Amino acid sequence: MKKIYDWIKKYPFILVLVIILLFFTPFAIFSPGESRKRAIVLAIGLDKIEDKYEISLLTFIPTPNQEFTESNSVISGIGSSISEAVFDAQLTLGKNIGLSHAKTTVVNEKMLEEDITSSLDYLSRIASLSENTVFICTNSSAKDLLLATSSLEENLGLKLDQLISYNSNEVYTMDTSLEAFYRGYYSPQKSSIIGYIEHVKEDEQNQTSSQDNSQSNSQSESQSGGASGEQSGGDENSSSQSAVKQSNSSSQSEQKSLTEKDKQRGSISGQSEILNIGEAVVLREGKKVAMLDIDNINSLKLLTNKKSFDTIKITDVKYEQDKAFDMAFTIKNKQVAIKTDFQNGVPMFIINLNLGVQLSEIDTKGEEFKEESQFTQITQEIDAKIQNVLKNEFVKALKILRDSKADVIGVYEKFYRSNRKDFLKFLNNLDDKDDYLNNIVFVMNFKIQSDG
Amino acid sequence: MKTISARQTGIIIFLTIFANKILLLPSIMYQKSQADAVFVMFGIFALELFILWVFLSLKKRYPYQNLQQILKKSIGKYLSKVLIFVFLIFFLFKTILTYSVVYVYLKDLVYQDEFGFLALVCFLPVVNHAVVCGLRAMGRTFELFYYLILAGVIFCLAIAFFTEISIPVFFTANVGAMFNSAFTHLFSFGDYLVLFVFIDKISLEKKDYKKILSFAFFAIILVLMIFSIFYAKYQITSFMHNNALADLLVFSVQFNAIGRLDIVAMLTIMTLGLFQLEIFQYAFCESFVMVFDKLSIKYAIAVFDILFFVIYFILIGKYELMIQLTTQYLSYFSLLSNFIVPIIIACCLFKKKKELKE
Repeated sequence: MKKIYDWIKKYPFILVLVIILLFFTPFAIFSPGESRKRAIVLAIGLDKIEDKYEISLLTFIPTPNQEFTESNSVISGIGSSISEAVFDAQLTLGKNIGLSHAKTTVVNEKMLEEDITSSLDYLSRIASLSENTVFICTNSSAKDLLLATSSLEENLGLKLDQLISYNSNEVYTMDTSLEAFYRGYYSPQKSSIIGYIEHVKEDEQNQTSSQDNSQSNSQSESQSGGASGEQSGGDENSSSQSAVKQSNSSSQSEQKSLTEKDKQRGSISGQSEILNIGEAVVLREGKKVAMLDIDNINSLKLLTNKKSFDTIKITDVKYEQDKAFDMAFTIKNKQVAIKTDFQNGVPMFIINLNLGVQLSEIDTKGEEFKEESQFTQITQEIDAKIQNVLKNEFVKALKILRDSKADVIGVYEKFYRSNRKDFLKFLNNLDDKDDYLNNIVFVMNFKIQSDG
Repeated sequence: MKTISARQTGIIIFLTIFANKILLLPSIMYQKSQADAVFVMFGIFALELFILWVFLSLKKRYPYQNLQQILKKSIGKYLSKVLIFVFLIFFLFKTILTYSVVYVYLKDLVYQDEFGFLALVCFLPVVNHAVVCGLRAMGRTFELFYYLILAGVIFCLAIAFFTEISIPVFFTANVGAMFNSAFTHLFSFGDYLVLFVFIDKISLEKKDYKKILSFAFFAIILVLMIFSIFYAKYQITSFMHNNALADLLVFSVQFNAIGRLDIVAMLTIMTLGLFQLEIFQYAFCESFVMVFDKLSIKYAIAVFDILFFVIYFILIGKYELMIQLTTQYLSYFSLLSNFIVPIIIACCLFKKKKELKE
């Protein structure tokens, strides 16, 4: 006994280790698995039904199986606050929810009519929410979108977060996370931008297809990027549906009906459809103030140095006497330098763009085409036309931002950093300080080179 | 006497400089002085180099004596005990603050629920055991883990560069707000004070002073980098992120596919937290033994455990209250411990120098 005592005295850390092991081992052995107590939430959906909130949780339920499939389900809860709704969902589920894997937060478009931060407060406070969750908006209920996602995942193996990651990295090339939303919300410009994904219900879809059938060979439609493989053949006679035009999406998308969008832009379909057409919602003070279509987003993307491989479509480029072709160029390289300056008290936002473009497509319009190689060079005409297209698109996007007084391109910050005194003076002289975008002159200088 | 080398002393300085500064502090400092908190930090670090200078001068003059023996000659037995008692209180609350910040971080990211008792059972015996083993054993352990901790910190900083960052907007806070911020968070500083309480257990030669300073400067640079990159990454929402070092790794859509990268930060913070607790508890126990010279270090550990339990779990209980205590009341106290006491020690030093000249 004395020997043991001496040994313990000599190596007391062994005793500490034994005590800790004795204490924790039974707990570890007899406690149930974490998956029994906690449900893993992959996406959160928020809806408001009258005065009540509905939270929908796309949950992953780990079950042992021999197939490489995951079983997901959408659980929802209703309450007068989000925390109550979460509790209700937990009751339904019979488990606590773990939000640390939730990578997507979806809200119903209607919720953006009011300041959304009051609804998001619960999510921003709980530290267990995955900190890089992407914040998106949908036209119908968030629950329906999650249900559609769940079925898509089961049927096609397509995940919502993959789609959203693609949007963030390739389409928006700007941060559309919950964090970025708050960054915009708390900034002096109070504006932020979030992703938008449409959801088409099954009955709407049926109506759409019946309408489609009733129309007699109207126009050809082709779908791109869809996982359903619902590609209809193109009508060769229809010049308006040329390849060039399809590669550059129309700027009038907002005016089109959902059905037309579905037909022209493609969709992912399972039991119901998710329509990802690269739209985004502009928020000011947490409320939706405008929508940006893919063209607007592409033009705003010109202000960032990130690569995005956008396509520029120009029409009627003349060569070989009277022949004129339509062309599409892809931006392969982009260098942006933004300068801010005050000239005679007028703030100037100067954008110097150095673009490397590659000819990606020519619509020969049935004409004979001989010297393909000459188009790799940027002629004066092409240069002017590309500049014109880009400027026009930027003006359109800027008009939306000016009208909604939403500065999502960081104009305020750039002036504040570079010309703080003059800019604050300029703001003080404005009747409406939030309307500064309308009083700033934007100058775009281009240098376009071939990057073939 | 078992002493620690200059390198081990440098590593102890390195570890303590990180204490309470890499999780919550960047966030709460942003609320008062925005991104200019970096300048506030720089100012306090510069001022604190005075404490390091006092320590090195003291060590040069009294290479083998402990703090009480040094002070006793100049200001008498009782006054010296009072000054050391100030250190004792400082280290007690410093340990509690370090523990509570690390605990809340682990609760948020790992356990999700309260696990106070579990944390206490895990931390306290290990920390107590380290203190019993002594400074040399601790020093060797720190030396062993030093590069791992360094790699963890640098990894977190490096990953942040792969996400979206932009230069923070500086010079937005006025001078008053910056001074206010410095004063409010003074308790999170005073890291070199640990060296005073075990001054006799450090073996230093003149050539080692540069080594000590290089460790201190390196840690200061890393802390300032954490602050700057954190503000560059989160900018206006910095106030929403309470775990700076860990948050540098997350909040990026690009890393969605990689999953929980924050495990690196978790391991770094846990190791750092544990070592800091060991250092501060050891400093408390050494101060205790100097004040109550008839009691051994084992009594000091027992008293520490009781005080820790009573203050943290019964009196304070809540994390918010602890932060409130340190930012409101203990700021005045840290003015005394971080600056006034070292000034008194410096005065003693000069007095002694003058006497020797005469």
